[in-house]
Amino acid sequence: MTPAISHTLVLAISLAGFVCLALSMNRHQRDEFGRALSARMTWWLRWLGWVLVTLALPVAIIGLGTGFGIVAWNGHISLAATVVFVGLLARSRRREIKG
Amino acid sequence: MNAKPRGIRQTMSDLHIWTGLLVSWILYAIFLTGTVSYFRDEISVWMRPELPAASHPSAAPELAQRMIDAMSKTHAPGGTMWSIRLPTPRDPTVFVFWRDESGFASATLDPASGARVSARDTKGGDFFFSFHFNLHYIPRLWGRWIAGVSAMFMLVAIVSGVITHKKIFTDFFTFRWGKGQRSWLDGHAALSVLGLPFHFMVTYSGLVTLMVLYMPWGMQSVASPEIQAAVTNEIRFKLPAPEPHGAVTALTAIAPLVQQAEARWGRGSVRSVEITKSADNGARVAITQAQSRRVSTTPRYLVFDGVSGELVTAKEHSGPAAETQGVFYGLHMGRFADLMTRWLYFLSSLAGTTMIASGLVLWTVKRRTKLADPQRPYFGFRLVERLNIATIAGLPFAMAGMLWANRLLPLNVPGRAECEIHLFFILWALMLFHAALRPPKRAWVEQFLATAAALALLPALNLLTTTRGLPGSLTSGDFLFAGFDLALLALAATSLEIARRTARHQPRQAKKRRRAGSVGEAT
Repeated sequence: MTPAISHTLVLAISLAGFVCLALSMNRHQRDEFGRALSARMTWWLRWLGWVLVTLALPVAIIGLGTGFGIVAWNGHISLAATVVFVGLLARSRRREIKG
Repeated sequence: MNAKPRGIRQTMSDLHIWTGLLVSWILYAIFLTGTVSYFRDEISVWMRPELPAASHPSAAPELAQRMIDAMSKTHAPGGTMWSIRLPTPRDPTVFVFWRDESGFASATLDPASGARVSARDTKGGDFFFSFHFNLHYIPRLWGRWIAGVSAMFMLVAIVSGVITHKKIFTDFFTFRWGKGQRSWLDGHAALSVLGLPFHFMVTYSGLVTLMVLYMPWGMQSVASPEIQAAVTNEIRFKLPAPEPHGAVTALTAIAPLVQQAEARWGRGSVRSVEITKSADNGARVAITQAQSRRVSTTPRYLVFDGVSGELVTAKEHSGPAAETQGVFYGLHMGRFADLMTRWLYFLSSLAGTTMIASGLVLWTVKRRTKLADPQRPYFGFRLVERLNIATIAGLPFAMAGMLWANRLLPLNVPGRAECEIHLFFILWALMLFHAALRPPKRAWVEQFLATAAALALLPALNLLTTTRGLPGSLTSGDFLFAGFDLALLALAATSLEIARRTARHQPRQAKKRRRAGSVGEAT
């Protein structure tokens, strides 16, 4: 794996993880789907989210080396969480403006 | 005040607010200059546009040999020490420095020819880096103590902030738009929580970088200078100081030594070659390893006999204590980072800067609704508000102003590099006057507009005053200059958007009273 592919992969997995984590939360379920999801679904989303974010770490370590991989993973999860944060905010703003 | 015992959150909240307020202006300046220092080399290159753009330099062994030949023939024939820093993708020139009878000297060389290249006199990105922990116009030691105390306060603010933040997980993605103080609090919390690993790491490791200054007793208890030197040797690369005089010996060829180092560490892994010659006709050649993708800053180098070319020492390990220090130091500096990781560093650090700024603004937002007479706030409130403007909006303006000075100051002004720095501080002081004299809201808008204009016009100024303007750099693949100009435009757009939103902002009517506890508890 080239470093560029490793970086992309780590970011993509973290992004997917944080999307799942956000959608496992009651407030964002109501915002996005108009209703709360079932407890079972919520449980699965939360676990999938944690698993994906955690999985990104070994991917980073294998692709970029131990020390460097850990640092890059920390940066990528911050960026991924921020992207999800801004994405949710933009979507809720658009809904508010539309009515 | 009620007589009930105050909870831990309320206590931590007060601690957070007041430790934060006391040092936040200086912390903001330290954070912002530190943030841009992740692109220190790039700033230095941009501020010396005369230097040749990145080319495809030859392999390290030949390049090192060419530089040594140039040093011994032209630049410093009588040198007793030559240090040669090989080019990197971030800094395409060769930096050399040496010692001869007349003392220490340095120069920048063209990697292709070994000829000296001259550029305008400027401190470049090194100024922001130095200001970040030395400050300026005061003794360095004072600056470092001020930076250290501020970092300690920052650490207290981070820990107390996390304790105060009641719902760190449930509110992780929450931002309540258009709700005044509530929105500021959500934004402040988001900037803190999303970048928390970085904020904590950079504050703690910042203290570690100067730990020998802040806690000197460990080092002092080491009795002899020899053992102290050995301790230093574990932490960083340092050869014995060169002697001013030395017989010129017939040096062995350098290229094969660099080749040996590359065989050990991999191609492109050599950072610098340092040669010292002593009076007894001996010579030493030290080859150091580049830090690329290795986090720790502990030294890795090979020392060869400069006459026979035999390997004398290979320093490739350090003790666990030195390694721990090296990892923290390395994490703070981020010199190991590749381009992607460097941007992650920059963005996280920018989030930290914005976190501090939002905390400062939040202090005034929270108190403004409670003012007895909003037209005539008390002195402390006015002081904080004005200092906020001059710091948060004034500093970026002054930084952009320094880049203007870099392009506009005549090249032959004596002490030109210092003039750039004086101008930076003059502009910053003007922003303080401006903030003190204008109505606060107008001061915010005007300073952010000025910053946006200064940043947005820099690429134009660069186009007019150098041969490396944006259209040319884009088409010729001069990525450093193109990226720098584009980043300036992006920052200009951000400043403009802040100015626009501030100008449109309508203060909310003071509400009757918020539901008790909903805000107070979380702030």
